[in-house]
Amino acid sequence: MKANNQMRIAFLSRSANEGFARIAVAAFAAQLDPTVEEIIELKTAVSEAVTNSIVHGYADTIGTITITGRLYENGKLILTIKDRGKGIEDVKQAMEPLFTTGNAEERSGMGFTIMETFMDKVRVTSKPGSGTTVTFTKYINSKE
Amino acid sequence: MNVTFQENFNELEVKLHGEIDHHCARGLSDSIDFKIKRHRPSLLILDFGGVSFMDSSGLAVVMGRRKLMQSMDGKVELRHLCGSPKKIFDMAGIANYVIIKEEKYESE
Repeated sequence: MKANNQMRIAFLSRSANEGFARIAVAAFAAQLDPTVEEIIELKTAVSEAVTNSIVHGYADTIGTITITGRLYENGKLILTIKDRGKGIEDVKQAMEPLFTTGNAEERSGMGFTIMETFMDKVRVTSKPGSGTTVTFTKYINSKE
Repeated sequence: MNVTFQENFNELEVKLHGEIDHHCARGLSDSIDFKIKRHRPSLLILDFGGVSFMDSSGLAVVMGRRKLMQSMDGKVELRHLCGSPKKIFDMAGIANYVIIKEEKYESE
């Protein structure tokens, strides 16, 4: 299926860009006329995925994070958040609620749970040593 | 992220303004911990009325401060939960861990 509209942004894995990433995605999605709730859900899921890339993917280094957004018919939005960081050994374990390899004082281990709750579909593909791609599908029910 | 502190008797009230994410979480936690250790309140009040966005980093900020307050036999209370912070806290079942004070917005 061909996308009606498409965007791509790339930025360094610096934490200051977490705000940039979620606001850029919200601005792209704005053309679907989302509700306030839907905007919160999108911004939060993007923030979680980008933070994962910064904290885990590029833990000891700075790399590039790429986000693509595609809009289809019926308010279907597909987002991919991709890094070329160290990857995830066990994706299933990483997605379990409260699981974290990070500092428990700073990370809640709820990132993937939040993504799965707020998005209609979440797919994670990862290869140790070459990076992680998170794909979100979200249907924006345009308010009439 | 902008924080203002107010001490009333044995309470420490922290008014949070702006967005809470991983970028600002450590600085925020450190500044709250500094005040807690200095004033040793029995109740820490975190006011989210001015928070326009919060992700799971905010959850870690609250749970970390709860741990510190608990070590001093103190409690944590959250106020003015709505929008983005409320969605995250509700999902995490935060009411099992801290006091939630539901109140209407006062005119300020």
